[in-house]
Order: sequence, then structure tokens, then C-alpha cells
Amino acid sequence: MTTRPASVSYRGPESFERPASVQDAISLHAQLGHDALFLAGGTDVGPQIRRGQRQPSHLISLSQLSELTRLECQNGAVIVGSGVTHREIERTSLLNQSSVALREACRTVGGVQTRNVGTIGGNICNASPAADAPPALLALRASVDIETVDGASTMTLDEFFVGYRTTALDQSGLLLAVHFPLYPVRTGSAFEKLGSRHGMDISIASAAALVGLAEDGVTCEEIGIGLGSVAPTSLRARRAEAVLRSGPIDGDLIEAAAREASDECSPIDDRRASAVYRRQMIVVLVRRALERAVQQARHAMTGAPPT
Amino acid sequence: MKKRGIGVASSFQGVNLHFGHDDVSKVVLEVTDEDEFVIRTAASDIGQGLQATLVTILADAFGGVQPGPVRWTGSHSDEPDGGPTGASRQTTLTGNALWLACDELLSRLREVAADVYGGPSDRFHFQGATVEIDDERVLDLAKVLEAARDQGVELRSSGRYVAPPTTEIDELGRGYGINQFGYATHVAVVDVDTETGAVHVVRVRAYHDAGRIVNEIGAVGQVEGGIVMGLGFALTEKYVIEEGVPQQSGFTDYLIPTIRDSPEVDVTFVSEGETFGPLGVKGLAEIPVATIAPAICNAIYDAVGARIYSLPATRERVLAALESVEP
Repeated sequence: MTTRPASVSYRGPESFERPASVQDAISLHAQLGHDALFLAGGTDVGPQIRRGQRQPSHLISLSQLSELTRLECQNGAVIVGSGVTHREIERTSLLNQSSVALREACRTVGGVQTRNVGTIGGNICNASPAADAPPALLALRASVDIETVDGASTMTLDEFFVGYRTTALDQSGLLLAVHFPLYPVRTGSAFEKLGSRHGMDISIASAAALVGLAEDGVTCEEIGIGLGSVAPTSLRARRAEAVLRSGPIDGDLIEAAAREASDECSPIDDRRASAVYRRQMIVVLVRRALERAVQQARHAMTGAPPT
Repeated sequence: MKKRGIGVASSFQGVNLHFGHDDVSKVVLEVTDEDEFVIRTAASDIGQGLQATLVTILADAFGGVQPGPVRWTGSHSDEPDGGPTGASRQTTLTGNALWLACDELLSRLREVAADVYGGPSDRFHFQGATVEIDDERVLDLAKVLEAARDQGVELRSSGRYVAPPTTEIDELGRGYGINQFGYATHVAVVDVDTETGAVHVVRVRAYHDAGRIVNEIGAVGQVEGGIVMGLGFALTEKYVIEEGVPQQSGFTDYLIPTIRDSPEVDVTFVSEGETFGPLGVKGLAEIPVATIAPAICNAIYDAVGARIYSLPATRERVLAALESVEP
């Protein structure tokens, strides 16, 4: 993202609002207009304002909305409020071996200081194609609950990502929560991120996989593959998923799925890496994520430690 | 898969002022009426630890123990000129100047002690805030200082150290442009991920000839810090300018190593080279940064047979180099 100096005439937001409820927040936003910006942890919005990329007329803080910080299990699903921080997700005991991918993804967001304050809702709504949590959430086949002036609705996460840095909210409503099933015992997941150094990194490419095995240990019952930094949005690799569903899981099938994922993404050249390299890395990362997910699923089945 | 390699590189770097510049430092040492030791110098500590080094040298002059509270005046321009803080010169120049000032003060104090307690003056050994006579009796330094004041002896000395002169060099490089060099050899152990080109520096052994080490913690820190900086130079700090505009405009894009990128470092100091002045010291400073990068590249070659000719050795570049190696 190039840096432009903030326009000289922009003096910062006119007001900083702290609504006490989701309803208040939404009507306030409708009232103040399209240039009003919701603010949670501020770890994306803050630098964007400073760089002149966003010039909000008003800031609407979400810090008072306790509805957004729920983190719980309900009816076999994990519900993560949009205001839950990455650090809370890293440390929660609610995730089981099927949702390890989300824990791994959240752990790679920035540094600890960022994770203490930055929220999963912000990571999703900022909609950077390089965001860390969305590929894991896509692999987990998550859905989102949103609320606008027109009411509440639910959609899948991949439906929520409408285009480059654009979500279905189009800044006129709130993301309330993201949720995904607590998959049964024969399911594992994993997240692989390739950065330019060993931490505090924007990914060059990332991949997450969820694999649920049938009792025979080789048939794929559940599958989800999410990719990051290789398309205008975080991407669900459905063709790759179909490959994995097509036969007994072995090294060759995993490799074939990884190659299909590489084929279905559309990376670009940028200052971090070339498109060619990214495509090559997706094969590696998807393979590694699938291998680990399968290993975890088998481990959960047999109790044997992953090799 | 991960392949491990070991690489070695050596470097040398000229220290002290070069090419005929006069290289001088002056220090004045004073003891106040409250028995506080003041090191007067305009030399700057820019974070390299000069202040700690000078206090250590003073303590060293007093048998290895600080003789009392010590203060310094570093960076005040109306104090004696220490010359620039650069060219890794301050430990050598201002350090030696301080040593000479300490020497002069101690001579004077020995004479005073000999006068009061009986000579010869070499039976007095200064150790911190005490003075030993013939390895038997122990006096308070304060008593000797008091006696000096009573006798009207000035508790103020100075030292001036001049480094051996250098000359300009001519168009064929002839002359004596640099009077001293620091030397280093680094051994780096790396793991290369042969599928992604990611390089992880596991461990570094650093060997440095920096003369006599005055401040060990500072010197080790200098080497460790320099190695991490050099790691960035070698692996992550991509800086591209297009049509005069830098493409990396902040630390989001200009990537310096994090603690997670940092290897284990073992530092060994080898003090066999030529040193100047009564202290036997030599500048250490910048050399760790340069030495680690070629050591890492050699380790990459050892691991995967690929030569890196362009830094930083990003994942993509390492992978490309790897893939072009003839089987």
C-alpha cells in the first residue's frame, strides 16, 4: 500500500462517539453518513488514518458493545464475537483440534501488542487479501452474522467478501460475530503462513485446511481449504476441495489437491513477491496444511501421536 | 525439506581517523572536594557505551575497583576535545587519554602518600577507595586525598593521546592511510527450506580481534546487535528505488529482523593483534554487521549448493538460486 500524505484540509474526525448498544451504533452510523467509521482495536484504522488512506468524518467506537465480545459454544458451534481480540482467540480453551487453524492464524497476526488490541472483526472487515484469520475461517466454513439498518442476516464468509477490500457490509452496518461448527473428533485443521521473516509479517501466501475423516481413516467427509494473499479476496479453494473428496486420502491425492489450489488462485506481482513464486508456494503450503490436518484427524481417532 | 549448512567469512575494517587526519583526544581528570571523580571530556556516547568504558578504565587504574562516585561530562563542547565519535576510535583515543590522566594523578597521589607515610612511592597500591602499603596496612583513599589537599597538591590531571600518524594515499593507493584494523571471523549455521527458500540462521559463532576488551558486556552486545543488523542486510532488508522513489516507506515494508529471526550467538574475543597506547585497546564497533552476511551466504551454499550474489537473500531469490543448481 503506497503512502500518501494526508490531505492538508483533513483535520481528523469531527467527533468520537461511544454508543452503548449495537442498535445505537447502527443508527448513529446511518445518521452520520457514509464517511463515519466504526472503530474497534484500531490496529488497521489507526495507521490508515495516519497515512491518509482513510479520512473518516466521525469515529464510532465499538468498545462499549459487550454483545460483540462473546466467545462461547452454542449448539455445537463456536461463536466468536467481532470484538474478540486475536489474543483471546489464541488463548481460549473453546477451540478443539478441529479449529487449530484459527488459533494458529490468530497467533501470526502482528506482534503480541497488536493481538492484544486488534479484533477478529477488524481483521475480517478490513478485508485485506493478506489477512491472516480469514483463510482459516474459510477452511472452517465459517459464517458471519451482520446487522444493518435493514435488519440482521447471516451469510457464509466467502459470500461476505465481495471484492478487493470490500465486504457485503459496504460500511453501512456491523459485523456481529463469526461462527463455525465444532467439528467431530475425526477432524483436524492447520494454517500455514509464508512471510518474509519469522514474525510480525504480512504474508506472501497462506493456506488453511480442514479435513474430517470417515471412520476408515482415508475417506474425506469434511473438507475446507482457504487461501490468503493470492487473490483479490481471501479465497476458498473449492476445486481443490473437490479433488480431496474424490478418493482415499494419500500423498498423491493431497499433492493433486494442492496443485489444483495453485491453479485456482490469481496472485499478483508486488513488492513482497512475484505471482509465479506465490503460485508455487500455494502448492507447498496447501500440501503442508492438508498433511498436518490429516495427521491431526488421525491422531484424534487413534490417540497415536502425530508422526 | 530443511537442509543445514555451515559457512565462514572473515573481514577487516580500518579504525581510527584515516588519510592524514590528526587523531587526538584530551581528558582532564578531577577529584572534587567531596571525593567525587570527574572525567572531563567532550567526547560523545551515542549509545556505544563510551561512558561505561571510561568508568571501567578509571576503575581499572585504581586496581579494578571504582575509587568513589564517578561522573563524566560527555558531549559538553566546553570540555576537553575528545574528537569525533566515529571510526570506532573513542575507546582507543579517549580511553588512552583517560589512562594517561589516571597515571598522572596516581603518581601524584603516590608521592603524597610517600611524603606522609614514608617512601618509596611504589609501596602504595591503590585499590578502589583504599590504599595498601606493602601488602599489609590498608589506608582509606580519602586520607590520601585529604593530605594532598593539605599540601596544596592539585587533584586535577590531564592526559593527551595521539594515535600514530597516517598519511593521504596517492592515486595508486600508496601511503599509510590507515593505522589499525579490526578483524573478525563469523561462522554461521543455517537451515534452508528447499521448498520455499526460507533461510533460518540457527547459530553464529563470532570471533573478534578487538584488542583488550574493557567492557565485556558492552562488547558482546555490540557483536550480537551487529549480527542481527547484518542478518537484515543478508536476508530481509529489501530496499528498492524506482525512478527516484523508495518503494519501501515504513517498517511494514522495510523489514528488519525480529527477535524470532535472531540466532544464538557465541562471541569469542581473540586479542593478538597490534594495539596502540598503554591500554592495549582497539576499536570493535561496526565490523559484526559486514561479516555475518557473507557467512550466511556461504552457509546457504553449503546447505543447498546455491550461490547468492544479490542481497537480501529473500525466499524467492534463494529458491530461484536453488532451482538453477545443476543436479
